[in-house]
Amino acid sequence: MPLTLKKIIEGVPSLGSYSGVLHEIEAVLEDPSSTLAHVGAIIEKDPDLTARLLRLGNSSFFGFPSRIDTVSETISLIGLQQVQDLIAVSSVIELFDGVPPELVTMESFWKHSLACGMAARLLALAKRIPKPDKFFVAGLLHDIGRMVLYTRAPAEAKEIYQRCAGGMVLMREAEVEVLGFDHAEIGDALLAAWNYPANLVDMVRYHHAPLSAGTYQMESCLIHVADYLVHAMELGYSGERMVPPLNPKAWERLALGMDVVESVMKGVDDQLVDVERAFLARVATKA
Amino acid sequence: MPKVKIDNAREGMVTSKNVNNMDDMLLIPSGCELSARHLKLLRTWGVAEIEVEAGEEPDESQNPMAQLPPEEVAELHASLTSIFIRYDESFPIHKEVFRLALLRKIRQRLNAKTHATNS
Repeated sequence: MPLTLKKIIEGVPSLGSYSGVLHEIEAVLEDPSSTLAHVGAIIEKDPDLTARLLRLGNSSFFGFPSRIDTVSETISLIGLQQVQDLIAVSSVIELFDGVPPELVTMESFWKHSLACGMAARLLALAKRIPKPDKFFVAGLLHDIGRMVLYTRAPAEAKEIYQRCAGGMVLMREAEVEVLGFDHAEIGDALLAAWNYPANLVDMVRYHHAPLSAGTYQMESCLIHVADYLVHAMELGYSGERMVPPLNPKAWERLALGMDVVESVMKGVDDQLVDVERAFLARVATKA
Repeated sequence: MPKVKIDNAREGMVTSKNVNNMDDMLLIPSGCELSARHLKLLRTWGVAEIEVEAGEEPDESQNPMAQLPPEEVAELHASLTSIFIRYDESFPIHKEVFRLALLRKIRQRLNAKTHATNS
């Protein structure tokens, strides 16, 4: 029986190890008398998560001028929604296990993803879009469909790799040849099944074909450009060895000056070590 | 006072005007000598350019391309060309990203060499 989109995302667990914390936070938020300190207390019950949030809060990613010492301070500086997003994203990173190492290593896959998230956030900052951090989440998850492919269909993934070996075929094209759909569609199906917001789902779905996106076309163009920059910088590895071609219209759609390209690339280089340390410490020790 | 792009700003330059972020929060006051930490902060906040005291414009002669033997530049160029599939240099954005990616590779190679000689 051929593998369908529905079939491939079946059995992917819906949330990772932090789902308990997230549910507890939601429950506390329903109580109108709750304060940030209550939320902080929930997070602080998990020393690993606490360390990770503080590390990120004190990193060059946010660049706050003074030192942050508590979870409540972190929440008040970066915002509650953002903290919830970061916890959710951390849990997604740890959700996928058992990828055949000859396909991709966890570290290199998430390095590519984190770098794309950082590039997307920096582009959003340059474009002065409110809440730029949602672009970090979208960039981080843009290739999540590949993680599903590697864990749920490793045999097909190996066939796809073989078709790309000559260097003339993009991995996404080989995915369509072998499966009938590509990793962006898998990501779309998975995030929709997880009830992620529509803008995020669309940014992942259209990161290779941003001009086909509807409501969130500009957002999709931004992820498309971020992915291109990170590929050009050869940061991490998601399975695609080539730099997937950039649609110049997507760049034009962002209406940014050419000088932004250099500052985004420099920004990613500056922040990557800090952000990797915050997100991948546990992934690295597991390996 | 001369304006310098953030990528040309260097440690030791002195600001001649307050530097604010997009929310108008003061990041660095006027008259402050820039440190490496300041430069990082400015990039993090997405500041594009700042004003500095006259006579402190950057020296553009530090071209990394000229510091590496041409055959090594050619090798790095070839390795990038092999991964830039369907690259079209008639598109300015393709050309600029390729140029910056190459410069970055050259800088990395130069840094690796400096480290090798220092250790």
